[in-house]
Amino acid sequence: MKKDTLIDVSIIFWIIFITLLYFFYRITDILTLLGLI
Amino acid sequence: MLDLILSIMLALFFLSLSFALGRKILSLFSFPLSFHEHILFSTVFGVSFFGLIFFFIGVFQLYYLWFFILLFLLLSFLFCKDILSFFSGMYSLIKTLFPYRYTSFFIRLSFLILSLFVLANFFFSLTPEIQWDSLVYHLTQAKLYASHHGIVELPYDYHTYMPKQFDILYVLGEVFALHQTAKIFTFFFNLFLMLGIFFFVRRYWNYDVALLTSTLFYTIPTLALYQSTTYNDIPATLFLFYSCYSFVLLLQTLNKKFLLLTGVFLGAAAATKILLLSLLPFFILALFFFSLQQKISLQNKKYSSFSLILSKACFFLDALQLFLLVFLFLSPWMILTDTQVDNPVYPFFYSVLDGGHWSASLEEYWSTLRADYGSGRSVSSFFLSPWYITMEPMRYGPVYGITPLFFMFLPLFFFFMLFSRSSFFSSPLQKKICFFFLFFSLFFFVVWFFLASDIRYLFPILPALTLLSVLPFFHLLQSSSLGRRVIPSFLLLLLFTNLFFFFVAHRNTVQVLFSIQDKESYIHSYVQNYPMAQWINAHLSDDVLLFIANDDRVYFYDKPYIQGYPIIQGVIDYPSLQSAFSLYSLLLEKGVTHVVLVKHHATDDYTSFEGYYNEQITNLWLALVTEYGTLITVQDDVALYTLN
Repeated sequence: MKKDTLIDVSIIFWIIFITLLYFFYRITDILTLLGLI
Repeated sequence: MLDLILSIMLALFFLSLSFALGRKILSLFSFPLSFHEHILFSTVFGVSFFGLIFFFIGVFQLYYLWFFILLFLLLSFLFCKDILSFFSGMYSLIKTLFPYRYTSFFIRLSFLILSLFVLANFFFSLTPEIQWDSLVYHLTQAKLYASHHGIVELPYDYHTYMPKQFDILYVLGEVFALHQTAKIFTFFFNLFLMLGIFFFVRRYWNYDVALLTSTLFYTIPTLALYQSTTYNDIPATLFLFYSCYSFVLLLQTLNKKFLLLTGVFLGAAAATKILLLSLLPFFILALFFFSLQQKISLQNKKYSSFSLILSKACFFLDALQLFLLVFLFLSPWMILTDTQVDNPVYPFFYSVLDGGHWSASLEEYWSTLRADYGSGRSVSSFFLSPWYITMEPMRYGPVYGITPLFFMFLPLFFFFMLFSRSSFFSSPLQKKICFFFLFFSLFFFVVWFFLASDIRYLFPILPALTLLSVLPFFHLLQSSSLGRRVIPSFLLLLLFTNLFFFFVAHRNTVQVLFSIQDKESYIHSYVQNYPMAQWINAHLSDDVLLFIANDDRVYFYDKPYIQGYPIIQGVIDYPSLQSAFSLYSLLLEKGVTHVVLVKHHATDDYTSFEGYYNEQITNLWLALVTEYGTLITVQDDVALYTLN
């Protein structure tokens, strides 16, 4: 794999990772707030 | 309904009057600004100047309806052309915000979401105020000043001694008996922050970056929550942002006139929220750094040593000018507080500066509370705080948080700055601005972490951080084909999450807006004392004096009262009261006739008040009403007693 593509892929992985982590962490708080879980 | 329409008209009229006043004053200096920037700067300057005018009207005890009508008539007569041009100017300004023909779908969708937020916030500003601090002091002090027809000492809440350049404007609605004006005016004024960010970024980058930055900023959940409330955090951020804007203009044009604006807006920001005074050293340091840089460029151009000495002298003059301008806005409030309690920054620095109505135990209580705020004060928690702010925002404030935007893109900002393939900054000025914002954010973050780590107090750096986060995103769009396809969808997902959080936060406000829930029960669901306040307003005469023992949200009481809430005032010094009789004699001395007591505060969790608000104080109140009081009525667990 080319170096540039490797950087692109790792950046996108970082963004997906943070997004998923964020949703996983935060949605439970909001659902608890709404009394749904 | 008529009330609401009149409130909207009053708020808009006041805003246009601020614009006219600001424009007249700014035209004396002929600043090299664009047409739209003129409108923005004039309005913001006008509002901050009105804060000062309201201060002097209050000091001269002239908060009368007739006085305001006369003043407004006079000003309208003087500035009638400018007042009308405000509306046409705003129309053209908002038109600039609209996407043009070749704008991408992603930016168009962002614009749509931004419009939805703005529209929703406008409607939410028409609903009654229920936020805690507004009912404790932001609106309460304005109501009390209006009823006393001037600025008087209000010793039962320490917040009333703090500088309130923006809060004082809420008096307007109270004097006109249009209580909704405060909220509506704040909503309209807060829009100038979003507009300021847009025009700033558009000036140095382009439309797309500007629109995305203002959208992402305006939709940050905790920030969106406060856009239509009468807190002063967003107005303070606004003044500070315009101060930064002027500073960047100073760097760009080297026109010393902008130093005036920097100082004036920084002064307004500090006089709105005293915490922001901590940024004065930063601005002086930045001035020093950039004048040093200028000096080096002068050296390179082989200027005479005389001009170098002159540039050094210039820095000291500039710094002095900045310092004086900041204190121009701040000093009236400080002098007033000093004449009242002998401490210009009351209740801070009590151990050094002293000051009335406060005690060492209260000082200790607040310093302990601040020390435990957020995630603690250790080195590890400092470095972990970005994680905590993003993922566990409940530690610092509302559950809605600040989106993972900063956590995602700020590391990329550093990455691109250091290892970018194509050039990350297209001009040296962009680089300068980014560095300025970077150090500005870092400086304030350290201050925030050690002094006041509440998420609301972090607002001042969010515009800068949002811009720094949006830049790597656009760099990815330009330089990576993979990024171009994948990343916009993630950003849209985040924007929709913000929208979801926004409506979760306002789920009850929506109900009252569509009349599913009536206003009375809506306020009551947030404020326990509302039925009691209504009962007292309807049944008691004006010559009573209430002692509101254990409640701080006193906005709804129309009758005269004194507050006994232990942690916000030191007039009634509980540790020195030995028995219920001593409290009883103290209250009689003050002329108290009735006592209001929230009955089940006694079962509250005392650990959060440890050290000051404790079981002994509650027992003191209970003993007072059982031994010396007669129960009149109980409204939703709030009891009213007469003192025998």
